[in-house]
Amino acid sequence: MTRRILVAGLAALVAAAVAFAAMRARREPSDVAKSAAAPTAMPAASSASADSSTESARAMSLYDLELEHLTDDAGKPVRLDVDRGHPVVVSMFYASCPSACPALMLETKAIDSELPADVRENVRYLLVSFDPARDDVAALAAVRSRHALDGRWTIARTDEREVRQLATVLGLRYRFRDDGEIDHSTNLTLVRPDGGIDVQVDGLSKDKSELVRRLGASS
Amino acid sequence: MLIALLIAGVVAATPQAKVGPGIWRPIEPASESQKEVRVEAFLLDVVPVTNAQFLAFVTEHPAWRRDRIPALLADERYLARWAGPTDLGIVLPDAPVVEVSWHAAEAYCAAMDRRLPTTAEWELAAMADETRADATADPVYRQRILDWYARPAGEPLRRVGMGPANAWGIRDLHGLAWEWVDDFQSALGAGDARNDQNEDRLRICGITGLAGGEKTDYAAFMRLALRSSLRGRSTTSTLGFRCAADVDGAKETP
Repeated sequence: MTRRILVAGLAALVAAAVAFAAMRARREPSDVAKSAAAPTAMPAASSASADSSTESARAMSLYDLELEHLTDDAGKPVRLDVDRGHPVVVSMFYASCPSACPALMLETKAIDSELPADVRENVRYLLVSFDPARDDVAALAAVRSRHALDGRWTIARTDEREVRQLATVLGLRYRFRDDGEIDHSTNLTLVRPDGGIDVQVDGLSKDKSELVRRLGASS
Repeated sequence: MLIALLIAGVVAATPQAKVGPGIWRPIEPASESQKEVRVEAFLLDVVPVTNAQFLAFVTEHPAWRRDRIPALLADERYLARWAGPTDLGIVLPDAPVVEVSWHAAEAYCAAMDRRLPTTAEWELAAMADETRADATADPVYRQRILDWYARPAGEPLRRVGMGPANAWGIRDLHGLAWEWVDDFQSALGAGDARNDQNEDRLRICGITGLAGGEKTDYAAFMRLALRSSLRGRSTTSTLGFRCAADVDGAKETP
């Protein structure tokens, strides 16, 4: 009930915000999207799917982000483009996550099992922790063994700043709660062999067909 | 190189002032116990970063020039109002730099041995008016901010530092440009989507959607809406930034 009221309140505010934006923009009508910034841009951006402009998304390479402190579950330094040359499914998680992360792992493995053998052999997975404070090398290694992940999976961690940079280019939203949990979105990003960001899907949605299809096309 | 040195020579780092400690009441608290967030004292730039300062930065770090920055890190409007990649043209050198992405703002602050302020820090600083650390209950304070939000965009931005100093000594938090915060990604968006049938909305684990903060603080709602709409590569003609620093280890203003 409280939630309904909140949502209704926010909807009213969004309407107000858009009205403000329109007023701010009236001298420069073509400028609506960038003036008063946000409110007008909201509907597209808050969906957390891939950029609506696929044109610009096509030009984006994940490997243009340089991370210097990424290490894998053996404690070995690893580059973000460790799997360059392969299609890579990228997402973020945290090891102590009670619900969404294990579900995300299961869903991702389900996708993997649906792939034709040749595609499956070629695809790689990169999962990076949101939680540098708690997810040390041992915690990452435990994730690998718990989910029986083979060598195609890279489980990695980095420092707080680089976590934020990576989450940001992946369009992931997250925040820490004082009970130790992390609220976070669960998108999977498909990265082409050259680093190009192909498509993002909700990792917990039931329909994975788009990702499976694109993985086939990417290989 | 010479030009870079010359520019670096005349563009000094922005002075900072100490803000906090204090209590911030978020509109969208992460949990029941986070309806009141204690913010430790920190240092904040007294004015936003200017075009001249950002020009010095991209001159010294050419990877952030508009003709070299990868599409991943900034959209096509990045620094678009400048006449050229290292030429301000008619843009005021002392006006706040806008049309900068989060990635560029974050890199600028890191290059200054500073960082972007967190949402909690920025909002705490912005609660003050000229005399009070927390003026948010005052309808006059609120109306002043809303009046600014309602002003038409498109006029050239004025110089930084012309707004009055607030109780912490910080200027132009309201009335000039919107500003990036380090953790804008923590603004999850309108409402709680987890139990929603709409597949397009965010899926979040954990319990969110608590109503917190002051329901009538519309300006704070609008800032939340702004942050939840942005991507890291987004730029707009009214969005700039300033840097913060921890109290220890940072150069405090004399």
